[in-house]
Amino acid sequence: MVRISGTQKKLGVALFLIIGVFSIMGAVRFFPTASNQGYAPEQPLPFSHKLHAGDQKIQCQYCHSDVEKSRHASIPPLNVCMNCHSVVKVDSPYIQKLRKAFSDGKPIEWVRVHELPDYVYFPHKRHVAQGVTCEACHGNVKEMARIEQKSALTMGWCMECHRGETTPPQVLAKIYPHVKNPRGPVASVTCNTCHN
Amino acid sequence: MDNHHEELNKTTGSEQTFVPPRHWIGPEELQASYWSDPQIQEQRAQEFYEKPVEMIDQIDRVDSSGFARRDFLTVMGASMAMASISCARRPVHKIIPYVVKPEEVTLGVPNWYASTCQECSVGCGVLVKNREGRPIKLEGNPDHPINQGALCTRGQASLLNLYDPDRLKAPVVHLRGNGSRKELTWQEADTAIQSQLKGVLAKGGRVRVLTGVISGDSTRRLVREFLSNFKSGENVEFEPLHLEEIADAQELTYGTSVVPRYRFEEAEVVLSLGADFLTTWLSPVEYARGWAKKRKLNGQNPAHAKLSRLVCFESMLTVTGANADERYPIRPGDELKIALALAHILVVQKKYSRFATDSLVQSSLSEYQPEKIASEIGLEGGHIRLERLAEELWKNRGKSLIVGGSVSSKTRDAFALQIAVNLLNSILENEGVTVDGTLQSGVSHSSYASLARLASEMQSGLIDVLVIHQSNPLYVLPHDLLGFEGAMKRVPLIISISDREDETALLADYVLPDHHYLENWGDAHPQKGLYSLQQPSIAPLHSTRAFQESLLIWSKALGGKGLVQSALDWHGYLQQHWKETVFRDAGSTATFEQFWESVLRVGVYSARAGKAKPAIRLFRSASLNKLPHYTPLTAEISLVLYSKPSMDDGRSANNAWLQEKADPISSVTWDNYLNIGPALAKKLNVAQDDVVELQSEGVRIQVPVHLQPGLHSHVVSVAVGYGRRSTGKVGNQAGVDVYPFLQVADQRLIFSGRSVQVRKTGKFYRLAATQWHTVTENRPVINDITLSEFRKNPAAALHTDPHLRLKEVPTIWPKHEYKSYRWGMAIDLNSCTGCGACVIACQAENNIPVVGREQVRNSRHMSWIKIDRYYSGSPDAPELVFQPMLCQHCENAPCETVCPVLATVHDDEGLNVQVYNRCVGTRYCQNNCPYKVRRFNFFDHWKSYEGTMNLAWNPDVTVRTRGIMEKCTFCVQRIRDAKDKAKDAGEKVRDGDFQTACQQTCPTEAIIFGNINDPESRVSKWMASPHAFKVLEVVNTLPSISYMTKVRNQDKEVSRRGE
Repeated sequence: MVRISGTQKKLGVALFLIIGVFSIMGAVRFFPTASNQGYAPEQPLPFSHKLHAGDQKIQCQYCHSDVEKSRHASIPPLNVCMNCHSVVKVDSPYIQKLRKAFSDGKPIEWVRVHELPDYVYFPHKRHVAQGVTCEACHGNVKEMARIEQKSALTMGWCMECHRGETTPPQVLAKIYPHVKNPRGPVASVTCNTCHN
Repeated sequence: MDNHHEELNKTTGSEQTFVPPRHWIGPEELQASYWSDPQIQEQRAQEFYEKPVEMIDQIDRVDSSGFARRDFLTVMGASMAMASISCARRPVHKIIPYVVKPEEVTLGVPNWYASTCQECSVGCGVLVKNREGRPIKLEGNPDHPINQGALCTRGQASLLNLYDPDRLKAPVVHLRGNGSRKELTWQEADTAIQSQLKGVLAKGGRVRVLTGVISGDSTRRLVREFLSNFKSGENVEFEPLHLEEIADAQELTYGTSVVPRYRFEEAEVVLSLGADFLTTWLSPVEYARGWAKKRKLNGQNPAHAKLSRLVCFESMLTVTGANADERYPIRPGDELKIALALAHILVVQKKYSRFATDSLVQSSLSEYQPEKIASEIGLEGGHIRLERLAEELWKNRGKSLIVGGSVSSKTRDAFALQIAVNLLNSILENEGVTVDGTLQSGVSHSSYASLARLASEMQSGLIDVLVIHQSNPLYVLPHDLLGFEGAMKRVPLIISISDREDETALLADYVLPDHHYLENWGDAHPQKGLYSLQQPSIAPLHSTRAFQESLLIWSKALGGKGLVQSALDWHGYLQQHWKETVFRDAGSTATFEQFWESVLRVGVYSARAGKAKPAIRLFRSASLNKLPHYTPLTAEISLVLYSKPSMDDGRSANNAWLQEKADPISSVTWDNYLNIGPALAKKLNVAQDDVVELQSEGVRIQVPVHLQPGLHSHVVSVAVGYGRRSTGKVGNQAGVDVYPFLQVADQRLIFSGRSVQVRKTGKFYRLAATQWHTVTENRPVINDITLSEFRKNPAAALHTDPHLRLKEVPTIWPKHEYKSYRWGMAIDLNSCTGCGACVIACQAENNIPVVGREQVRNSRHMSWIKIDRYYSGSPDAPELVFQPMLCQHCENAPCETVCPVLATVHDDEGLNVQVYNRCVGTRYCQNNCPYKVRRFNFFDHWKSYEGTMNLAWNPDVTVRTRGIMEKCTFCVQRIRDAKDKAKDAGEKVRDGDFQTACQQTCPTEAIIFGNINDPESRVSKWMASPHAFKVLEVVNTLPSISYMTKVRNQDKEVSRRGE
């Protein structure tokens, strides 16, 4: 016959409550953060894609120059900014901050917006080569004064496109050139396409 | 299970008379009842200890079981709290772009730089894979004539030394008076050192530079120029394991002090007298590749198949001995007797060769009668065996090769052994054919004699300045040998230029941090006319400075003459030296800049035109006067010191990859141990893991025992390079330092042959051996036949099960379809030497963590590719076979069907894929894997990587966290890169476009990887050969890996089959 003392009982109840509370807190906190959709943090410099890509019509690849060569689109190094800003808008306080960073050799620490987990391999290169436009995933960057994560960037979101459900029509047309209203899978959906 | 072989024989017996040898892992298995013992069965079937780690030791002692309830609640409560905290909002990450991006860098795309490995003085070419400015992988340079694309274990692991957090990061001064230590800036150090050097220069003092063997001409020239400033200057080169007696004997017997190049690729019969040329001897990668060229059966007509032969006499069971067709355990020192007995048979008895008429040779050999020697050693088969061998060698004269001597045979007779080896090679007309003495590059030699002279000069107060670089006499030399420590105290200024404060550097006044070789410029001159360049592939990680740069700066300050005057820095010096030597001799029409650029790109420059035939040198019979008189060995137990392929002399003891690399023969990690053969162990009444005391003339060392089959019954052996006192967190006190057993005779270090007593202490030490991990419970996994059997029927050993002979074996699973590629691998057991370079290559490529000694003991070793070693025959003279075991990527994969969350699935290219982010860690897959190749992360092992070590991760491979399963992926990231490149070019991946990491580094090209959907690919052809087999074919998993049957070139008389 096992005897349980009063203290043990209290301890047991307390433990049960603690575990319960933590589990609920964990669950509540976990699920809404699976996607960072809508994330638009403040950046160290108020760089405006609207101004650069929209109003000034600078091509995306001018700054994100590795997008066709590498898995990374790459954030431009300061020397790329200075190509223009050694003469353009040099009196703006932000540009002066930029120029100072350049002359001090101190990089700007941007806050990362689009981020995939470490166990995901995503090559920009292959997607761009298939004709996926930047806007398809990043939204209408030309209208964004502050960059924001438009798409969910969740696995389900990736798969919808790979299966051909949300694929941009020009990509579908490229993969099924002789089909009138193309449908169907456009890219591999095996696990190790993205995870290894 | 016990009768598995017999069952198989019954089913196949009607067609063939082949009796497969019984393979065993440890000698205990040879007891008839071993595998039928239910206790053993349970123990061996268990892959892990299931108990919590911190309790294992107690559990082992008092067989209590279960989990303490209180601890469980504490742990659970804490982990719940942790779990909920970690679910907070995703952390903010920063993107920090370059300020000015280097033009050659594309983020995410590797750059490759050709350089030269400096882990030892051989001078193999490496290609350094760089990602975002940091080296992440080393590969052999395929254009380099020495290593031809392969790299050894140590070369692969040398990457980790670059990121070693225990490297010295700033100059240090040790004050002699109070022993205090202070960090300095480089300027302070230079000012202080230069003013003292100027003082020495003014008074006409003596300066010595003590280094390891210098492989580059330009470094040697710089040292010479630095020393020429002073009235008396000398460079002393010393490495403890250097085989200086080879060049000395060459000088005596042929008149030229060279280390010859041995052409294993042209030898039909190789006789090794203690020389472990496959992993540790002289230039192992080059020799292994050469030897393997004659060991390939694929593509040959089986009926007339040809294979070279390797015969070994050795006192330690080495990788070379393990690969020998015939191997004889001997005592240290017997190598010489065997060599002279063979010479006796050839010249005195059979009157072969021109030496038959040479009376000096006749008389020198007269006392070495084979009968006497065979019976003294207790040679299996007696002197008849020696006579047969001599006859075989004579039949293959000009096509055979005798090599001898390594650390384990560095006895008092090491020099005489080399004379005898040279004599044999000359008798057998190998000199000038398989032995090439004309390719010597002028690489200098380590010399104990000059170290001894230096010590005595220091002792008598003659030396004013001692500069030490890559030499560590205080660790290596026993205290009483040269009194080097005392002698150092009498030198007013000692500067150590070293990557860490090692044993010797601790006594230096100044310790200046040196570059790692991947941060430095340099060159090597491995053979005559062959120049290899070393270029930095990363900016220095710490405030370090190259040894050469320091010498150059000081020389300039002293007003030095020569190149030091004109060269701006070490890079400039190197270029200037090349301009004056290599470029001048090249007679190139290009400018020097063009020439330099082109050599830098390739990494190597060869001034050799075509394949020159080496000249035959004449053997000087008078050198036989140096042979000792025949004296029988009387020691009851002789001690053999040897060097492990991974640890060498202990210089990289702080490298966790090397420490955790299972030894090819013993499978022990993290420690050294006393190898004792089964017969001697029985006599001494010691068992595995007993700690014994080795005692010899006042030297006493306690060391754990490993029972090692295949040793002579009068021999014990233990590896050097362990028990470092000052190398860093990883290597300090790992294992036992056995250098105190060194002796000196005739100005040479003596490693082996010392008579020792072995005494049981009653203590135990559990060695972390992997040999019983992940075993297949006595199921036959190896095929192993002799050449004559192979000629009759190459498929003789195939484990065919009658119901597998059905054309299509029924399976309940739907068939996979492979539309484009299907990846597969073929492994040649016949040329796999078991060296283990692939294990480290895989570790570097795939971010495989180090788990530590304790976790290895718990069977949680993480290697994706494990080299299993199997014995057959008697424990006193066993035969060995190695089998690389990795995920077989089965067609009907048992792991896939049991995963409850579909974390392991089959892909459309035949890969068995492990999805880390899906895995929940049930370990059902591991339980169901018949090959036991899955590895589970019990901990966040990556957390043990400190600081700079994190730079070594491969960014293309996920770093795995706790609680998930992992295994070989067939280097899926390389497959993907190859497909990516092919897609860019609008093509399909062609055969040979890429290699897996293990395949790439294999010195013997034993691994082939490719597309088995393509019948023309090399791997398909290998798989179609008649001696290809799948492991455990009977379970019908249909693996994507085929193994080629091991074939031994031995005839019935020698074969130990059926014993």
